[in-house]
Amino acid sequence: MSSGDLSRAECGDVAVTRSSRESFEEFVGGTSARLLTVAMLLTGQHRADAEDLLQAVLERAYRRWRRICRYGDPAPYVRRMLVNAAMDRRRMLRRHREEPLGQAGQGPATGDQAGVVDDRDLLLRALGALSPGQRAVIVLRYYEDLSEAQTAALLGCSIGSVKTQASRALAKLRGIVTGGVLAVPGDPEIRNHGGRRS
Amino acid sequence: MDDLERWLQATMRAVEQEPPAGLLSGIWRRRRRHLTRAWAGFAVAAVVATAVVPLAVHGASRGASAGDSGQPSASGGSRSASPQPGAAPGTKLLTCPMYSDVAITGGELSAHWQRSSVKAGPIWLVYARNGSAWVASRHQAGGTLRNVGGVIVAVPNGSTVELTTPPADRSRLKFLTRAAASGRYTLSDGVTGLTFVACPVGPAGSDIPDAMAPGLTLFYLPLGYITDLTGCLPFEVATAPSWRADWAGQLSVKGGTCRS
Repeated sequence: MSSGDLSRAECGDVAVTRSSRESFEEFVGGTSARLLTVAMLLTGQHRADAEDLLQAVLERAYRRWRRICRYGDPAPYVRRMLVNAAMDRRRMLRRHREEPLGQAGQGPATGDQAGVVDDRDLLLRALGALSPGQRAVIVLRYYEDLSEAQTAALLGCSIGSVKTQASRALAKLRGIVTGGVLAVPGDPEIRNHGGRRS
Repeated sequence: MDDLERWLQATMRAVEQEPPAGLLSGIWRRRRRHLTRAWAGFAVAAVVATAVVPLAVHGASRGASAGDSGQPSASGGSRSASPQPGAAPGTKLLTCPMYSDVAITGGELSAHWQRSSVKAGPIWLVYARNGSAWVASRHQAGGTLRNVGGVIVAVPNGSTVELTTPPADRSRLKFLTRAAASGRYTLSDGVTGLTFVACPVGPAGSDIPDAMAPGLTLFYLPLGYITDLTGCLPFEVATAPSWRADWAGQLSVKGGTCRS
């Protein structure tokens, strides 16, 4: 699952071969699931928020679609727009109110799925404790599989800054995941499971 | 990669979402809303433009002469009463090649330049956050300033923007645009505003690094400004052709605190 997955729907020569709209719709069709996951990881626990953010970003991308296509593969550009928008939104939310470590998930899970859902909840809550910059670095490094250099280029900062952010974020996540800061009432296993669930 | 990193990677993949239903229809809905708002704005602008055309035509002849000479105009009048191209009365016209001094700026900014800069309407006061570079050329005790410092203003390509001191403070904050032989400056050496005519919009290249400020013309003002104000420096920004004030605010310098 490399970042190259996002490149499946390239613009091509929009002016000659297809209309902007067709090209854009093809791009959205090929990448929306992955972009939504990135949005979800970057914004928090609510799919509706992530969908709203993604919709807004893609609408803005469409406005300048021909120009974006002139650069070649539109995926990195759109991903950068998404990361910036998510960081802006989180900063704004942090200024106005603290997001409670609230309910996650999308419904009750049963059986074997319970462990996966618990891990997902723990992950999203742990990510929620990071600063917007740290969160972006973690998502880009470990979900998008970007290198430190690629992450730095996308975020417009130095490689050293990426390393520092990642190191601090991992230390924080380690403390949260292993220390039970995000303890779930009635679930001692999550409090102490050390970061992995067997 | 340690256990935590592996867990992160695996769990993030488990978070993967189904493609959102109705995403495209939502995008097109937003698009229609955006276009509606844009057209409404355009209609309002057209009405306003129609109303001020006679004034603009009248002002053009005066403004062009002031702009061509590059000298501050001695004539009075207010911007709102007389929208005009070129330099406003009392301001200095700076055009595309004039202050894009690559030799001085090195042609690029630091990677994080926006973080330490102030967005003032459509323009950036580069490195002006928390004083930074913009603190260098302030007025000194004794009424003169020996060491002046450069400041950078980034203006969107294809636009004409005016950066001025609000009327109430025009006697106390001036921009320095020409070197004095003595190397000392007083407030009377400056102008009350700058009118930037940015470079034309050109074909966009690919992968232009952020440090090259793609889409912006960098105006380097080697002498900066001079003021006897302390703490807060008030500025206003207006854009052609409407000359509507896009931004009016204050820069906090040297630890000063500003009104909201």
